[in-house]
Amino acid sequence: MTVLTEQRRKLAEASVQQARSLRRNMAISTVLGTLLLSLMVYYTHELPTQLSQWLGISEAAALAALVAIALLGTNFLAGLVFFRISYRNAGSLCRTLEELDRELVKTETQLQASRSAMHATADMDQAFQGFLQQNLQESETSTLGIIERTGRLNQAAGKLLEYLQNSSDNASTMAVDIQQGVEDMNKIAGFVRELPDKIRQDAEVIHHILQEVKQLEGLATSIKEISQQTNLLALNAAIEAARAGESGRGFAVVATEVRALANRASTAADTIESGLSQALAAVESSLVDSNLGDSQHHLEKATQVVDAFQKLQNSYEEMRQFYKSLFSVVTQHNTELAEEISDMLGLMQYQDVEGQRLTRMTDTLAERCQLYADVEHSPIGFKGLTEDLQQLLARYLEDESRHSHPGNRNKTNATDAGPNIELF
Amino acid sequence: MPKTILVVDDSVTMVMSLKTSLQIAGFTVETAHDGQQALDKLKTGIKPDLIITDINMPRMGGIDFIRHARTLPGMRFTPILALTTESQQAKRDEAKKLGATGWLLKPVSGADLVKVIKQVLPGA
Repeated sequence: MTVLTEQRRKLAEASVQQARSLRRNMAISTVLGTLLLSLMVYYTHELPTQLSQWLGISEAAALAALVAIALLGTNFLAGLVFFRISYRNAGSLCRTLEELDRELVKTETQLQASRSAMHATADMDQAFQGFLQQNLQESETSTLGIIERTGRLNQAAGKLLEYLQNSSDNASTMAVDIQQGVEDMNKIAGFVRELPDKIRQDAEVIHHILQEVKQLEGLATSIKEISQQTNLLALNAAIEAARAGESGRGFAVVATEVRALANRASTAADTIESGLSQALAAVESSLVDSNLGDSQHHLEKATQVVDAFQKLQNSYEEMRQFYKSLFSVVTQHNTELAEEISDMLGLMQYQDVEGQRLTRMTDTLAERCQLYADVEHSPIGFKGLTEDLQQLLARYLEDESRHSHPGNRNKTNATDAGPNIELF
Repeated sequence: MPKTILVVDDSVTMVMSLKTSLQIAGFTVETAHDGQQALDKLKTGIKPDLIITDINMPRMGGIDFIRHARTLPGMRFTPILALTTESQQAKRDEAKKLGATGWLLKPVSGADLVKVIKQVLPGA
C-alpha cells in the first residue's frame, strides 16, 4: 500500500466519520429537542396564560411566542453542539488533507526525480546503443573479412589446381620424351652388349683365314723349291744327256721337258705366291675396309648415343626445371594460403574485443539493476538515483575509453589510445 | 628446432586463433588461461622463447604475471609481448617498467604479429 493510498483512505474515513457524526448528532438533537419541548409544554402549560396576563397579550400569542423561544433556544443549542462537533471533524479532515498535500508534494518530487533518473537511464541506454552498434559493425566487418579471405583462399586453391593440371599435362609430354630416350638407350645398350662377341667372332674368322693363307704361302714356297731343284736336276740331266751324245738325245728331250715343267711349276708357284699375296692383301684390305665400315657404323651408333644422351639430359633438365618451378609455385601458393589463414585467424580477435565490451556492458546493467532495487529501501527514494546513474555512466564510459576500439582507429582521436603496436 | 611461444589469454577464441596462426608460422605453442596457470607452467620447467600475454584476466592479470615471471630463473631476458584491448597509457608504462618487451592492441593481423615476433626473437 502506497503513502498516497493511505492518505486517501484516511480522508475517506474522516469524511465518513463526519457524516456519521452528523447523522448521530441530528438524531440526538431531534430526540433531545422533542423531549425538551414536551417537558417544557408539560411543566409550563400554565405559562402562556400567565404570560398573556403579564404582558397583556392574547393567550395564543403568548403560546406562539413561547414555542418560538423554545425552538430558537433548542436550535441554538443544537447549532452550537453541531458547530463544535463539525469543527472538531473538520480539523481532522484538514489535517488529513494537509498530510495528503504533503504526500502529494513528496510524490511530485519523487516523480521529478524518477523522470530525471529516466533521462539518465535513457542516456546510458543511448551509450549502450552506440557501443552495441559498434559491436554490430565490427562483427560485420570481421565476418566480411573472413568471407573475403575465404574467397581468396578458394581462388588460390583454384589457381594451384589449374597450375597442377597444366603441370600434369607437361609432365605427360616429358614422360613420352623420356620413354623414347629410354628405348633408344635400350637399343644402344643391346648393341653395346653384343659388340664384344661380334668383334671376337670377326677376329677369329680373320685369324683363321690368315692361318690358311699362310699355310698356302708355305706350300707355294715348297713348290718353288721343288721346281728349282727339278730345274737343277733337269739341267744336270741335260748336261749328262749331252755328254752321252746320240744315246742321250731322248733323255735330253725329257730333261728339257722336265726343265720346262720345272720352270712352269716355278712360274705356277710364283703365280700362286703372287695370288696369295694379292689375296692376303685383298683380305687385309677387306679387313681394313671392314674396320672402316665398322668404325663408321660405330661412329653412327656413337652419334646416336650422344644424341640420345643429349635428349635424355635435356629431358632431365626440363624435368628438373619443371619440378623446381612447380616447387616454387606450390611454395608461393602455400605461403599465400598460410598468410590468408593467419589473417583470417587474426580477425577472430574481434570476437574477444566484442566479448569484453559486452561483458563491461552487462556488468554495468547489473549495477544499474542493483541501483533500481536499492531505491525501494532507500529513505530518500529516487532522489539519489539520478546522481548514482550518472556516476555509473561516467564510470562505464571511462572504462570503455581505456579499451581499444578497432572501429575508431582511423578517426581523429585514434592517437589517444597510443600506437597499435609498440616495442619498448 | 622450432621456437616455443607461450600464449596466455582467458579467451578460448584468442588462445585457439593465436595457437593455430603461430603453428602455421612454424612455432611450437604452449597455452595458459590466466597469469597464475602460466606462472605454474613456467615453474614446472617450460622454457618458452617468447611469451604473449593478455592484460585483463581472472585470478592473475598480465601485469602481475610479468612482475612474477621476471623473478623466475632464466626468465629475465625472455621477450614478453602484451596483446590486449587495454589502451590506458599508465598500464603501458607499468608493463614497460616491469620488463615487458612490447604492447600490441587487439586485433593484430597474423602477418603483423609474425613480423613483431621476428623482430624481438632473432632467428625465428
